[in-house]
Amino acid sequence: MPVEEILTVKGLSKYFKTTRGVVKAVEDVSFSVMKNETFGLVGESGSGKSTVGHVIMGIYGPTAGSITFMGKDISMGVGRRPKELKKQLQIVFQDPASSLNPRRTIMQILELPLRVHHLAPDGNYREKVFEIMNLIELPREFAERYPGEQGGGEKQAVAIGRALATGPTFIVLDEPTSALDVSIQAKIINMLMKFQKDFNLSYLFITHNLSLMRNVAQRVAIMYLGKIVELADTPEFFSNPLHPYTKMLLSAVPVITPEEEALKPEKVRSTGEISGALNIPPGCSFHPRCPFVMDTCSKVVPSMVEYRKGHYVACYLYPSALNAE
Amino acid sequence: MTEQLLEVKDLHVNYKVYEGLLKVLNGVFLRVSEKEKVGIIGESGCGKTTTMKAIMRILAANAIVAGGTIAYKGQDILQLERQELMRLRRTSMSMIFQDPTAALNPVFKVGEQLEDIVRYSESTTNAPTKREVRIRAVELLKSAALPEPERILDSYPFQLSGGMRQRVCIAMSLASAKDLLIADEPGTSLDVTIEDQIMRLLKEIVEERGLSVILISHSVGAVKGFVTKLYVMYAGTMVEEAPAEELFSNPVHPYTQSLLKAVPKLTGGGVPEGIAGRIPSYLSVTDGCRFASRCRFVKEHCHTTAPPAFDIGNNHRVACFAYGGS
Repeated sequence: MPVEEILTVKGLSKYFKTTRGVVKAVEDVSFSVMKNETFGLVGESGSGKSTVGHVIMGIYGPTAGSITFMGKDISMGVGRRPKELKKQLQIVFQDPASSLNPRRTIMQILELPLRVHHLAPDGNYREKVFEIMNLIELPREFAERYPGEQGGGEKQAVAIGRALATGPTFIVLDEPTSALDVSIQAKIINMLMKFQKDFNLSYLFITHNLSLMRNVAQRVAIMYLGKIVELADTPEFFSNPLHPYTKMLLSAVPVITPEEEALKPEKVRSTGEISGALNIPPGCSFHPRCPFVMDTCSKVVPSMVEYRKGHYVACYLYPSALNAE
Repeated sequence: MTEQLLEVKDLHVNYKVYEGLLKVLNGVFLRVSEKEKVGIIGESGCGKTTTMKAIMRILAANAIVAGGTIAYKGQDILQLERQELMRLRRTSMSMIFQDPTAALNPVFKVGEQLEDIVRYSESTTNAPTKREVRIRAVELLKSAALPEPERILDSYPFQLSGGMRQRVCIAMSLASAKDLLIADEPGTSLDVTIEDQIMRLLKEIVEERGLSVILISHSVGAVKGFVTKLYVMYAGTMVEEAPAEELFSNPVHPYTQSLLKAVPKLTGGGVPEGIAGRIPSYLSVTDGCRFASRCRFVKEHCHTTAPPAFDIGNNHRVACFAYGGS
């Protein structure tokens, strides 16, 4: 299968000015998402993973860097993006209870993107909405109900249906299941995986749940305080984690089976907390929590190296590229 | 054989709401021995927190305890006079809540809130001096592994991180939990590395102090490695009770089996299947098994009769007609 990049992010930074100083939410982030791929972005709260998704969507423009989508530069806010582009890029937010308007019926919610983009030439929007509802496995009679009357899983299905309505090629999934119970989560994820196949979608999947990531993404990048610290193919990422932060995260994941326990790297105990994005530590931002900290770590930011083929890491423990076995 | 500390029997709790009567808890049972670590897992809305609130007797005003007993050290908590109840909460049991931000009052300093509890938890006959209270508060913060306790006492909750706030809540609960500590999803609102730290700390503390613990969680992985006995709740009923290892290696209730299967595994293997259907509305529950509408093995009588808990050996009990009854 030829691998084709659909979205490329290069040197992306996003700063926010606040009264207490500049918050460097995202700093020099680069990655690309291939066609039909699910690219995973993992990190703790405050790591900037959602901000990356929001900048790609154009919710706000980047401070520096470029975003290329299907060969075109889209490094601008949503106001300056062509309408055709907005059809191609969609997002599903974490909490459907707040991303769906409680005063609109499901019919109205699903109709809006269709109307905005004139997607029913004969003006029969209702029929189109029923098609979408069929897709997300909601019975027709739900159309006149309000989101508040639905369960969390059904609400999230509506949010997904709204994203699909315009026939996108790329969807940002911003923690789509972290507000849901596991039995519902499984249903929603399966639905998303099916749509990806059926409609040739590419996903940027943002989550803090590593176990989930293992099962949905082809490649995974891990963020810490606005920077990507490790990026690899999913099997390699989980069997050969390199960065101390990745190891710490993996050791902390609560697991059920002995096989999962065996997969965990030699236990790196979780210590410390993520610092605020207002005062990011100098050098490697992870160094105050790192058990392997060296002198250089607090001085110079380590650059990303390709330690193995396709496995990138930014850490002084892995100084030179591609020289391991 | 250790002694029984808490025994909940056939507990029924309803909530009165505008639409009618929510029949939430239906025959809940629970046993906790001294120094035992017990876990309760179940999805949102299954009645885990309601059960704990009934034990602490802090149910909302519209809740009605419709039946059952909660024996604590031989007394029925539900029958206790207010004075006696306060004494229990002051000296014997305490609870940690899910969201430390909501559990702390934002307009008072940590010190004021913690010292209040310290003062309250000491015996009323010899009131401690201001200095004694302060020293005790510092000790409590130290036992919750908080650095610079003096500075934290002088901070407002919003000046602390989520993990630190939860440690403060743990410190508070330690002031009065001499026998039983109820931890209601103590790590859920925190990041995974912080949750890991909190759970380790909690385990150290309860083992060191010899407390009994009830740990509630919707995350199956979080309770594993912490508890020795597990209960599984579904829609206000206890569906399974077993020693932790046994429950993970040999789950028998159809709900438990589906629940464990639905958790994505770190080893991969694809996205698991969910459970079809949804929790029945508490407004219109039938007399039958509450899982019947979603169960793959459902029989006709499941819809009309609720299964009692059948003993299947190895201290393993399950409320399902597939394992007993006729």
